[in-house]
Amino acid sequence: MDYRIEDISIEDTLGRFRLGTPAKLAVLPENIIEASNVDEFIFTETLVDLNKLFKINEVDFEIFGQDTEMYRSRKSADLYLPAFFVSLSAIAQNPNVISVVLNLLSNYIYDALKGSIVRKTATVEIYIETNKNGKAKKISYKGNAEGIKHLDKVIKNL
Amino acid sequence: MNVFIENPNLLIHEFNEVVSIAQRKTFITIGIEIQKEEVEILANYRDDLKNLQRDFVGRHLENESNLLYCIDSSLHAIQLELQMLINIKEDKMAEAWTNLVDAQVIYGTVIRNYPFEFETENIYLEKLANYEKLLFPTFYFHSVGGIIKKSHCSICKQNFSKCKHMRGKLYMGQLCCRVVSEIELEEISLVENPANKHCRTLTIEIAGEKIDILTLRPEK
Repeated sequence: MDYRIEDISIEDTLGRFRLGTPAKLAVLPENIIEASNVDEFIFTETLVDLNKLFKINEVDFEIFGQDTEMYRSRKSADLYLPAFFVSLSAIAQNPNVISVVLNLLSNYIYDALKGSIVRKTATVEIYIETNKNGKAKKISYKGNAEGIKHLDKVIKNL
Repeated sequence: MNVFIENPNLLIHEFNEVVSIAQRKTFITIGIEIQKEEVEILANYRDDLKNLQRDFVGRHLENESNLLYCIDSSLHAIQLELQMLINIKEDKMAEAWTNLVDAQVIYGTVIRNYPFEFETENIYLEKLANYEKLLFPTFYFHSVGGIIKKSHCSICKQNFSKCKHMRGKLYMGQLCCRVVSEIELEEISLVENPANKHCRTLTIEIAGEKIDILTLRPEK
């Protein structure tokens, strides 16, 4: 399991789009830093699969801005997952939201990487709002299906 | 094969016997005519399986149809393995590589969808991976990345982001694929670990001459 934690400002990352901080679990576009407006948002192609998986498992989430239906595909054997944003209000609504998401992601990674001998990894970024002053932690994870479950403890200790 | 509609367990038993016979012929030392004959036997058996699958689908037996996909695809992988060995003996190296990659991909879909636990799932995949290391030189692959703008579902033909089918899963014996119909190309890279091993380096240039990377012969 390989992960990195950074401090970020929600205002700098999301605020400039004037959409407000997502009230529930949200998926962010992968070009959130470069995009100048919501029409330019590009999402990771695995969002389409995860959207269906989350609906099947009745996990409520929103797509930050709008689903532009533009999805970046990387023809590498590795798996790239969308970035998730978990706000304080999302945690207040469902204290288990992070565990639920990590479990679903772990199952998805396991299924997607199954059936191949070549060692593959999954990459995902999770933003956790840590206080009401617009501060958040960004966790960048790279690893396998089992490792992502351990992020639960890491996030609880933030 | 009607009996299998009543009792799919008999089908699994017969499948195991067919696999056992075919795998005894997947060695480079086995006579090419014997391997060609086995390829025919497998092709004919798979035709019978397809008829049986039509029966299962007609009766809306989803689990049985999906099981049949796994059985048929496992046999297809062995058929491709045999064809790869035949092509190597016949000096058709590019075709042999294609057979090997197809076998790996097809068997991968079986592992992801087989309805029962099986401990040996990776043994056959490892065998296919070992062919790659032992029989073929190391080369680079091409990897294409881009923005998917339009895609549809291979099962229901609807916009892929709107339907309920999951990519890589089986539905009534059919594998769900995302069919990309419009993509904006962003990059083509040289990689060691690609998503698609068919996108390989074909030739290298030495002293102004293009050389086939598999045979080291000048390109015709």
